[in-house]
Amino acid sequence: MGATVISHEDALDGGPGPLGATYGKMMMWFFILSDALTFSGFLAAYGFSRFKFIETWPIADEVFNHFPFMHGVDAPMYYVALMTFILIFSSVTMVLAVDAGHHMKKTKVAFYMFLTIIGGFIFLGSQAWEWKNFIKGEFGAVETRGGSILQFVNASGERVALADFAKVLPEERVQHTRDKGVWFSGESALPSYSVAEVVEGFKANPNILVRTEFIKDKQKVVLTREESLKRLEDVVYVVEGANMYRNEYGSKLFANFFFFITGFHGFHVFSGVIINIIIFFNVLLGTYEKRKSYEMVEKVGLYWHFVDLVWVFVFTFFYLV
Amino acid sequence: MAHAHKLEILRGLIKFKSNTQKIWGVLILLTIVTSVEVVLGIMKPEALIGHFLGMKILNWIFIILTLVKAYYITWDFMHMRDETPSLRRMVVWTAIFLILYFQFKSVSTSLMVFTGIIVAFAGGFIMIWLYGQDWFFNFNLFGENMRDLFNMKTINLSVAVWVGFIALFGIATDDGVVMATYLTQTFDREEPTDKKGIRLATLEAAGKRIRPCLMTTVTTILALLPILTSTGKGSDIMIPMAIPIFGGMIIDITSYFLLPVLFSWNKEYQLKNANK
Repeated sequence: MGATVISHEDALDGGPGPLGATYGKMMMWFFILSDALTFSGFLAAYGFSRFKFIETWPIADEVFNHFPFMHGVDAPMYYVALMTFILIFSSVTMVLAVDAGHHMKKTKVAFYMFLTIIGGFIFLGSQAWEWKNFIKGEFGAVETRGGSILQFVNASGERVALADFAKVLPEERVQHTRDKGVWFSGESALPSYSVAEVVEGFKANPNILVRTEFIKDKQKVVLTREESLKRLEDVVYVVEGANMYRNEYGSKLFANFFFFITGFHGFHVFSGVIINIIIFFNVLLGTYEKRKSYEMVEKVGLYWHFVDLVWVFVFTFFYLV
Repeated sequence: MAHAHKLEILRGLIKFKSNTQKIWGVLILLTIVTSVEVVLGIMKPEALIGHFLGMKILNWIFIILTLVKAYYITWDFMHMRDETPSLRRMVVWTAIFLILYFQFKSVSTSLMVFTGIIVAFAGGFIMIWLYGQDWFFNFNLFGENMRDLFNMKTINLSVAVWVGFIALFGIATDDGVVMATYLTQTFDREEPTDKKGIRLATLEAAGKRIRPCLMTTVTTILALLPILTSTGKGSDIMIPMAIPIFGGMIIDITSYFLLPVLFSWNKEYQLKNANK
């Protein structure tokens, strides 16, 4: 062995890399960068679609107005604000874990990692609850042949649920299942009321009006009684909640983007939690103590903060703007 | 290990004693910003509903606050503040450049190039309309009626006509690109800082590139003449295809003036904004 032989052993461990960072950290930054471009692509697509249908886009405050244990209370934004705080706070515990790692304090790293994981699970649970409310819907609406959504309000402009006025008619619509009729084609769950029941109920309640998707002076346009009856002639579907085809909130793209972007972000959070758990066990097992470096914690930390960063943007563009 | 943390935020306005303290400080800052967002989002103050650059002032505030939050998450939670400047630039500039560039920056020049298409489109239709007019080209030259020579009659829109339009768009864009590249290069080289300089640079670039553009146009028009006068087999398809290109190319001569004017106007506008 001469003096000219240079040891590359540290390079295999992700040793000193370019720009004062290790290769591992650098690659994490590259990944985050490309992922950021993906998300900005999605958000830009959302923005373009929203501007295209700016006159009929659902008003976020009316859609996301639920809060746990406060049924029927109009609480716009509080819940997503809470979710934001949860995620920011789990970000803080993550930095604290990284900081403890720099000081080689194993128990502290483990403790803060644990808190981060808990925070991640709370966020995922919150998002599941948010999705549940979104999918289930609250008031229900009808869709016309032209594809626009008609909602119902009372004389003072408050939303009225279909269940409050729809008439139960002596008719029965049999659910079409895969084993009957056309070969292997079923249908999704039937809405609680048929179109005829909604229309009859509307005719019987003179103080209910139809509200269209159009926004005028920051409010959705409410039709007069005569106009309402006329619009109801075109109704073809009863829509309750939201799915990938139609939703009771308005523009079809709204639900599609909601599912896609928050779903994609939620998937990132989920992967983040899984990776955090793996690293958490590694911390407990003393892997990084032996390695004399807690850089892995720092790397997953970067990813976790990135997830937080994306949520900050999703929060702004879905709920605030 | 060197884990020297920079413990100042807000340009040194607030200094922290330890990294842990800084983390909590940033948390407080983020909490305040988010709370402001939520309060504004719920109240929607009347004063902030007005529009600024095509968007509500309130939305501008939300976006700016979001960027503020993004900055502190990246800088302090992701330790960007402690990385070497080169790593910082590599990550941040790439993201900013790509996102902004793809979405905004290139759009104006592309749109200017596409004005040529609009002009050419109009020219194609004008020529189709002229073909249907009795007075158009209705004169004799050496005993030959020009309308008969060019087989002029009413042209109905057909697939052949649209194919002609598509070919026309290609040539029109080509002209625009030839012009715009040289304009961009000239401005990059000269970097004019006043109105006069901008106009001189535009004139220089446009003067140099008018020849290649005209050449494209003239060769296209000359090459189409035999098709337009043809009478043989297949001419009933070829003639409608050639007419939009023919008309569009003639009118497209005006777009050689349009593109430099738009380009110069855009540059002057940027200059005016920069001086503000």
